[in-house]
Amino acid sequence: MRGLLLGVLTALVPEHWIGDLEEEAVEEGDWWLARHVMLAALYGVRMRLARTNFLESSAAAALLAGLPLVGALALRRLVLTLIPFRESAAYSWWAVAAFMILTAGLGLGLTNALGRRRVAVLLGTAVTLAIVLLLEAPIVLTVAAFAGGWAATIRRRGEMG
Amino acid sequence: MPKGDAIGGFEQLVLLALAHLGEDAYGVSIRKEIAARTGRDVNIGAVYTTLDRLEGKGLAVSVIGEPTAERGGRAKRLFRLTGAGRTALEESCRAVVGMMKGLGWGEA
Repeated sequence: MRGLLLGVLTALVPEHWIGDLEEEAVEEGDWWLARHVMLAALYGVRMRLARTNFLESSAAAALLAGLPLVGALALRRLVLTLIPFRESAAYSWWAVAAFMILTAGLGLGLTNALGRRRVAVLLGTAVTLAIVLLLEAPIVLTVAAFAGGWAATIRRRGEMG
Repeated sequence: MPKGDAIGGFEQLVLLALAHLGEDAYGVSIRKEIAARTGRDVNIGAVYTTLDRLEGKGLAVSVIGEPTAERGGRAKRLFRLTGAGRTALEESCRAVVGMMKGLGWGEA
């Protein structure tokens, strides 16, 4: 269990971080280790994003924006098959509005995570657009994702912590 | 000190831990020092992210130590305060002490 937890980190954080966790894990419980491995992974990903170059950032942006968006769209399709009156125009607009908020929030988190890299977010969104179009999803969702990310980029002025 | 080089609250704690630990300052010992003195259980990622930033500002330097068995054969990354780091830390602590004067908090 412990080996698996630490193994997850191998690709995400420098080796001395893992060594430190392994050293402390001797006197700590599994829950402590799981919590610290998760947090260390998040710090590691953020540090890598802050250091990576333009193309890597774009790929990360596509991954971060694309996968949750595609997942959300799949969920929406599932919900539409379960709810009666699914052809209702009002419901459809509410669904679109909800997903616009979701994708705008996603864009905000994404832009922060990438340290305000506007062009990277733009390219990432373009890749997301391609994914969404391939799945024949509504284009408005991707436009909302980009608009959210762009608005967050313009709004945010602070440095990464 | 230029505005961008000002040290933040957590940076101050990490620099103070470096000052206390001397030659034995690395992730685990820094984390434990902060926990023992402040009661904060900080993550190793937060410590190293801050140490990297401090190194970038020239306030700390690091070297890779020897691999040890209890760490799964992984080496430690040892840190120490630079002269500029000590100066920045002293200034920062003086500023905090100065701001606290007259509040009656923790004064004998």
